[in-house]
Amino acid sequence: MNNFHTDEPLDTRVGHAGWSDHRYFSRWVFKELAGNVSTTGLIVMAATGQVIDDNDCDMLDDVATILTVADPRIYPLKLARLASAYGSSLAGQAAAVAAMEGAIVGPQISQDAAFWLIDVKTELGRSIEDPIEIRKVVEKHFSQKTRISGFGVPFRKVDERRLALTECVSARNRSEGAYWKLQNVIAEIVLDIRGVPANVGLSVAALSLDMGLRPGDLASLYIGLTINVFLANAVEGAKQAPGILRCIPDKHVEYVGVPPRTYAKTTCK
Amino acid sequence: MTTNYTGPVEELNWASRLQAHVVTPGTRPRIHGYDVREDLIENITFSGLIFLTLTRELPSSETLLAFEKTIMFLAPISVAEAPVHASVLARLCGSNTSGITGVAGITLGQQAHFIIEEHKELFEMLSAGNKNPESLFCHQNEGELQETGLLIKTLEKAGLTPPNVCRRLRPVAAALTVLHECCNLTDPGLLESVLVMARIPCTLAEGRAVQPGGFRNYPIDLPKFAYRDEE
Repeated sequence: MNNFHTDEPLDTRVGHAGWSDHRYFSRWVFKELAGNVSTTGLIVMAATGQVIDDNDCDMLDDVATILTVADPRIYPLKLARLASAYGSSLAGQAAAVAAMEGAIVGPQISQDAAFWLIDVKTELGRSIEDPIEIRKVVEKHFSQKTRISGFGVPFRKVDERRLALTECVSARNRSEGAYWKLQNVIAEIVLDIRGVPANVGLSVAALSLDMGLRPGDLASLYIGLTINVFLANAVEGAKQAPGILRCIPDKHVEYVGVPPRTYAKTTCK
Repeated sequence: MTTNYTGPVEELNWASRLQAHVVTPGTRPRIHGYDVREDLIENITFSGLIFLTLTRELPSSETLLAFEKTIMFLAPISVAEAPVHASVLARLCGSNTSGITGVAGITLGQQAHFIIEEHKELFEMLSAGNKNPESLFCHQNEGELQETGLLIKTLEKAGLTPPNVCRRLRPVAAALTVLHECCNLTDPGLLESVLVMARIPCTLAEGRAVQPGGFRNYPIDLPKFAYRDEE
């Protein structure tokens, strides 16, 4: 039972299905968007409601390409392989995307890092280019929190994706963005005080903020833009549908739970 | 052609075996140490098995009774609620049972998480021994009072003593309180699992009852949406 009224319509800006054409974020699909917008542009509209220009789309294409680490052994991608191992690529995609809910890997890192960068920039105010002030603020944050998104590179000394993105950002003359410059300074400070390198999530967050994207939209946006890595593994996984993934042989499984015991009638009827 | 590229997976040390924490692999499976097919199958009910699986321990007879009655109380979920509605739409689109199951699992998980988060303050109050729940957890109308009364009545009829505070609570809050207080299910994630487990049969059955492709029988404009262009 609830108190909601069915006569109060839910607002939507997303779309309307008409007769001769359809609306998508305030534009006609056939008359305005067809032939003029890229898949990246459509995904950005979907995740943010914002329309970005071709230069921004090209930049996001670079980001998506750099984030294309599609090795099926990587945890969420292995998950896609397992869920598609019975022959359905859709199941593989859906399971992998669902597993990103609250995950500590994947696009959520960029979203969390973006909120953090905004906090830092707000605290810095006019001192945004003062390395001493930046260091003070960063040291304060790291003394208060056990973990800040955008730092740490598991199993590697550096995040090569961050280096590749830096080259692309430079090639597209975007290195002067306020957040981009700030993240570079912060990365050096954190490496110095904690010995922890920044990861690509921090750089993607900074670049996105400089593009005017909203931090709360970033996890959805980058799931959309990097769907190719899930798709590739789900499609190949479904085609192969390998028995070895449907059930790993017993000899490769080690039981570490409660030792054998027997039911005692006094415990439970 | 296999190539010899190297990366972290090839060059670092990794575990070589999957770890099982609940069920032993292979023949004669054990759940949390108990032989299921020879021992438990002779001695406990399916509800007892679920309790054991989720909590690692067999319930006492009183705990099991409270658990069984409460999950049955929580089981009905109608098409008005999002998980079932989503399953119905999946079937309407022609989805097979595996697709409906995936949709049901995701949406029930979301619903369970939402419900448990909604009751966070109630659980904090219970853990602190406070017996004065916030008014938002208390029944709001005669219908809710009667629903909660049915839960209390069935528990009492089974010889159990539900916490007194339940009498003032809304039906779901009362049921969660029974799980929390009488079954010692205090971990939020565990309560979410119990909710999903209780509600999945109705969610799947309602979805499977729908005629695939029966689009004209589905109220497409309920609830209403109003499309607006950006100003």
